[in-house]
Amino acid sequence: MASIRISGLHHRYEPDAAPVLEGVDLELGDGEAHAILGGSGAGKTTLLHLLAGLLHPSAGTIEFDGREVTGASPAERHVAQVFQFPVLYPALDVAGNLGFPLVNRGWSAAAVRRRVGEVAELLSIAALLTRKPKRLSLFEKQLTAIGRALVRPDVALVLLDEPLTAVEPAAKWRLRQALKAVQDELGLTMIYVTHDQTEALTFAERITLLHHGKVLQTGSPEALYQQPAHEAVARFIGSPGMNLVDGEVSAGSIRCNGQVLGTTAAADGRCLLGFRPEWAAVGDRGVPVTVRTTRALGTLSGVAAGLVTAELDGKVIHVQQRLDGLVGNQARLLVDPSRILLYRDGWLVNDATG
Amino acid sequence: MSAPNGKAHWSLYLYCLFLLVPLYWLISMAVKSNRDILGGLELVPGNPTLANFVEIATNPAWYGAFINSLTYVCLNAALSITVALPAAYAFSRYRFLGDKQLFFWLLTNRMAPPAVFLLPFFQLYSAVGLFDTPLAVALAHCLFTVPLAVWILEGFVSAVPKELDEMAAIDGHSFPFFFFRIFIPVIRGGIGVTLFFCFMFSWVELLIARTLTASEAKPIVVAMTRTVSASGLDWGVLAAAGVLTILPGLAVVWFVRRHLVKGFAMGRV
Repeated sequence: MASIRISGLHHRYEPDAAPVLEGVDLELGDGEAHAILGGSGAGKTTLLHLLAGLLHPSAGTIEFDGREVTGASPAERHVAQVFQFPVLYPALDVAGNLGFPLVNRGWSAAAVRRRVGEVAELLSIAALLTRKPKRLSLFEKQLTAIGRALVRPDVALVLLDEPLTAVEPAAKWRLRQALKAVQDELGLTMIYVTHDQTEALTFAERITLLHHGKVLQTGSPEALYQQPAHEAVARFIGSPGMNLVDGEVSAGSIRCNGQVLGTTAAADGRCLLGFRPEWAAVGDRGVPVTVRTTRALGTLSGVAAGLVTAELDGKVIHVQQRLDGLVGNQARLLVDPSRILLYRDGWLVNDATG
Repeated sequence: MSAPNGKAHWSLYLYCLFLLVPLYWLISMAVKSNRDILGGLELVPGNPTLANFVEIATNPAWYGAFINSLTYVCLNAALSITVALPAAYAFSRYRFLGDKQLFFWLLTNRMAPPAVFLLPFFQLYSAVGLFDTPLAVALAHCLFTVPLAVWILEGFVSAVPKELDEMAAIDGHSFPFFFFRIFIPVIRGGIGVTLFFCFMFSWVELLIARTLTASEAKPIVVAMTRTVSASGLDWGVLAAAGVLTILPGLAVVWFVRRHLVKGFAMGRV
């Protein structure tokens, strides 16, 4: 296992092409489960290839345990990878696939058998060891692929490239549990790349959000939810995402449509106001809004509660609240003043610690 | 597909009968003497004999021709795969200037009838001393089989996920190790299908084979068209040679029959 440090990583595929990664900095502790979250084209797969050594960066450095490996070949890095779709050698059975990396490193047959047995036990695939890949379900194939990644005891880093994509929804949860259990037990440094925030939030201790080749934020799942550093993070995390409406700061007060919503130490000027659906309430005080729909999702303390979709200045906002007392289309919106986040040029400018 | 009903069965049997009649006639001629063949209509051979086959097995002109044919066919198949496999891998995995153009224009050789190339081949091989050798025919056939092989193999190579290459690299295998020990076993079905098509082209091709050989390397297809002796045509021996010529093709089809279907499904064959 190793700690990883990436600094100033740039990558472009052709000398005159647009950069895929632009100045990525990232630090991972030894044994950390880290998720890299981002939409398609964010540069996630490129980052993995750079970490694995399949590609070499245009600029920047990668260090494993303080040792620079930027120009090292994949073989020298001791990295393992699990791909989106399970890749197995079709001619070998499960045991053969699991043991292949060891056989090629000159392990004795007995040592290989012992190690394969251990890994199979860990992933509960011991019963499948003699099967050929074509007789496995997708779930079992992916488990085997994960086993392959774990089989080398000297593996420094395990890379997972959207490993749950190909697995049917019912098995996703089981596979994630299996992964998490293995991670806890072996203390592996793992990087899990995904576009699915639920997977990232449940798997990782820390998450890095990658957007158009740049790191927007690295932090705990809670930090990304409570304090998104960039409005793209605010939109990406949460379902529905954060509400972002136009507003301004003047003389220390946060205003929206002329109404004062709170106070701040941020400088005067226009900005976007961000708040989570559960940090606001539609009622009879605050900024005028037009209610479009309400959807009951259950009850809260015996009162119907749900999601209110409203319109403010032509922007759709979502609010999670009690549904009693909402009559007619015209209402007013009030936001918890201590939790309003202000974004200017995309970045968070106030430090609302709620 | 619905279960075949009685009518469909009958039409199938009729079709098979239709296909098998000439084949049956060939086989029945092969086990008859010349006198019986010319004697009159005989549905089942009255005096079956293996004399025709014995003649082929003992006459160097006949079995030599078989050996010549098999030599250049095997040479051609081996050469085609050796050249086409790396090419197909490159076309499938790498992007380079003009790759799509080159891939398409590979087929230009197949757009011209082989006869076009007879004269240049004849002149060239005579000049370099390759004329009348199996290698000459094998090389000439490569002009047609290599593009075909590249096209077929490219489909099979592209069907293998790129992640397999990446996984092998991450596992720390060198490229030659990956290519020979991991990749080739994975696409062995495709290689089989390609071998089949190279074999088929080279085995049945007559024009080039005849032009580039004289006496030393005379192939079986040529031997069969030139067998006129003093006593007229030797019908029985000719038919026996025909039967033997069909056998290698049957054997090859038998080995690749499962992969062949896959190849057809991929649209590359």
